[in-house]
Amino acid sequence: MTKAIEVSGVSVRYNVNGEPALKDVSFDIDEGEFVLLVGRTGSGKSTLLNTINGVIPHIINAQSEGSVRVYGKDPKTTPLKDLSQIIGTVYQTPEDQIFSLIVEDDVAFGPENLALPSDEIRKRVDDAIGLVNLQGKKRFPTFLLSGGQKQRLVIADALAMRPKIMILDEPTSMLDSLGTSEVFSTLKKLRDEYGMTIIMAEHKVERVLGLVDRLILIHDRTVAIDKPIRQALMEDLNSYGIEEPQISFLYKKIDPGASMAPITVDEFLEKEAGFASFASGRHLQVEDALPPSGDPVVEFKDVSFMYEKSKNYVLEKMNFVIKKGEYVSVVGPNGSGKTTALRLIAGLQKPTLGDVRLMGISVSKIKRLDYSSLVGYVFQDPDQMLFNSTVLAEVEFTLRLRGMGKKEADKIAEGVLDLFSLRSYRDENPHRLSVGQRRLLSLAAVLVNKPKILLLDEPTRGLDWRTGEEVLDFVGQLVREQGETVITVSHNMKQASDHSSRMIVFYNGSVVADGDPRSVFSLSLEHPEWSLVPPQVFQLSARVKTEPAAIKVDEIEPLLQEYRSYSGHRTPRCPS
Amino acid sequence: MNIALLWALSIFLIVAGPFLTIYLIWKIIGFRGYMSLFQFVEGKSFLYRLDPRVKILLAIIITTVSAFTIWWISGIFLIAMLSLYFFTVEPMSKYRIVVPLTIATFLGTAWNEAFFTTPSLLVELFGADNFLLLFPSQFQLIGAYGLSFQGFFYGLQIAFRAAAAITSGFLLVFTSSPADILRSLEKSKVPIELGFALIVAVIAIPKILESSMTILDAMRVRGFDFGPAKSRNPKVLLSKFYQQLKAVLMATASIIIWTLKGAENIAISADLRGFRASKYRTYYREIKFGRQDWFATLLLILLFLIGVYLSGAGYGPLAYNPRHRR
Repeated sequence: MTKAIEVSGVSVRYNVNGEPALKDVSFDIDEGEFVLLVGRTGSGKSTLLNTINGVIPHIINAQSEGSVRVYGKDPKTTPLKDLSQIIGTVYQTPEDQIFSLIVEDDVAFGPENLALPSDEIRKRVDDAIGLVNLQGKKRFPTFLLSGGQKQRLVIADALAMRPKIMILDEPTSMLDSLGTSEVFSTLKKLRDEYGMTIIMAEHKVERVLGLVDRLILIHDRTVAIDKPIRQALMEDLNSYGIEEPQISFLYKKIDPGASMAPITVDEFLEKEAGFASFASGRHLQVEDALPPSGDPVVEFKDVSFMYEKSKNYVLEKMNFVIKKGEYVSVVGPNGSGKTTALRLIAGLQKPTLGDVRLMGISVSKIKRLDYSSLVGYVFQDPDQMLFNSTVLAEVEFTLRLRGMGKKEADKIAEGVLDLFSLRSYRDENPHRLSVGQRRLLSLAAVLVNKPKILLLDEPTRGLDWRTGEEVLDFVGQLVREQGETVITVSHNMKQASDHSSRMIVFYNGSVVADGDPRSVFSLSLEHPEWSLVPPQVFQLSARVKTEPAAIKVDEIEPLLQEYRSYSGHRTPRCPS
Repeated sequence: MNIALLWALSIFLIVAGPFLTIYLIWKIIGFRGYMSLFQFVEGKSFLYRLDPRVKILLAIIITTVSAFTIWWISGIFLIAMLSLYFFTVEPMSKYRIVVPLTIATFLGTAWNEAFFTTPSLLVELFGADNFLLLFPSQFQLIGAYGLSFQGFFYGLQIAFRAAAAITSGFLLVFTSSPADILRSLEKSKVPIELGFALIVAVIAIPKILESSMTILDAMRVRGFDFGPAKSRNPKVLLSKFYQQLKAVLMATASIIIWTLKGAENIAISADLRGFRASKYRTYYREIKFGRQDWFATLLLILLFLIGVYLSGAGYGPLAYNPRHRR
């Protein structure tokens, strides 16, 4: 097997006297392999990828020791223009990688830089666009593309350079569920049909299981796990702060000593052929949330909304009531109106028809300053919420607006920073914090006002699994201990069912389902257009027909333990 | 007239013009209108097939000829440009932006020229200066005299020239993609780095506009009210104004940081796609001067020559004077 990439003893340092960003990393990648690179934010994944594709040292200054070879070439000494014809790179934010207003023009950018003859460019452009399935949009304006389409365009841009290796650094962090699927299926096609070698850094482990061959975990600046995927899943990934797919987690309850884990529900049932009949009709002990009994906090009465100068209703005749202390997840495909609904609650828009009431008062009667103690709204992108020059100033912004004195405001703000372990950063510029810290800061800046209603728009987007769980645990605590009402928009069904007690499904501007996660997931099985993929534990449970179907891992664990003793240890067979 | 009232009225008149213009533009065109200026959509009419350099030449020639000929020639140009928009994709959406902008140009330019033209020039041009309102003499320090009928008329004439220039410029923006404009310039030996910087700037503007809207929303959500202060107390008004100014500055700083971060990523991406791998780039689209382009260029040169002739023949840039013809 030809070696596409050889990394040996690589250490990288950004500052001569500082901590190394990577320590003694070594691995080889064969041609045609699809490698998943995981690790917490800040673990060194991006540094590693940038060392392989030559960005370090050609663009970003850093000292690196050890050796890297890409098809025999050394990135340190090979000019970028040559390296980029061997390795194509795709980063997180599609908008930063698109330079043209028209799809075709953008794909042509690379070959034009290489001064290729025009018919060669034309051929490469057509090929690349075909590979990512954007043929119908050749002369389409790039700013009208969806997130997933933009990222596919970026992949095409890289493919036009005819690389043999693709490097992707968290390519779906900024994308919704549909966009994520589009990108992953494109990568699958590239690998299966064209034998492309792919290294992808990703947090969404569960979703990529079916695509990848091998998992490399970077922990504490060095390689902690490097195994084929099914074997890697038998390790305790959670202890490294990495998301563990539910299906392999559950499998380990039955056979912790196995060498390989299943990656789909089908594989699970194949490996444990007796489980289906064992579990069928079995009763699970579940704790369903008590029906909410508080006062109504948010009410939508026949709300319809249309943007100015538009002809289409984004929301049509919406009705729902959210009571005090509820933790609600709003889900549904992109464009169904979820963010618009949040904006109406936050008073950033007024309903075109109908009435939105907060604590019984119509939103048209609430003053701006009063809003901040009523509603806290954390946007999807924390960077767009931070505009003060220090962390402390950011947190006390609203307090000072209300006329509170500096001393008092400082005290309260510092208290809040303590909760999030950000106190030591109080005088730093918010933009210097890591992405997880910025997310926490945006949460702190909103919570300092003790709002009764907390609106979270995809709060864990871009965060690694452990940080995301910490944020959601914190929010859950607020609900339990302080009776906070939380409404969160989410694309992650696992998080929605683990943390919230109610799910409202939006589709085409209307509410199509509203209830506890269990019943909503059952309904969603009959409605594929909702684009809801229930968590693997639910899928497994529904397949084997337990009573009821589990939505959380601990609901089905006892049954698995029982099955384990019932069946004894079995030698697993690797799926062929 | 009461001197304080005179001062107040004078200040109001001078300041109102520009603010009214900006407000009108904002309200009528709206944010989406602005965004659409930077978002090119392709079409099939002859306008889209002309080489971008021809359109650049058009804007230059129209502006120059307007500047040295009599005002109603600019008027003709203005009507001609506006009718050309009919051949763009979704002409109504273009008119919805350009017409208010043109009106705003008229208001803005005429308004200001009216106040700042010296009485002696007005007398020379029109034979009289009938002031409806004379500003306090101190205003002459900034060059403002007062509101006169002739001043306003003079302003209108200047405005025609500005409007003709602006509408001819928009034709380029509406009918050529930045990439094609860039390529045509590169063919005429503009350095590729400059061209790339221009393109990235054009693409960045809608992103920045969108981002600023979001930051303003973020401020609203944290209690900041951008509406007018509901008080007559000047102290409150001033403090409100100061707060709003501070907010705008903070938002600007934040956007700049965000833009710079994005800029670094853009630079990395460009280099990873071979930018500057070779001194000259090739193009997969044919940007060649065709017969239409030569024909159009010829017409434009002809236009220029006619303009020179007219200017010399008595239809020069001096304001139209109903009293005496030169």
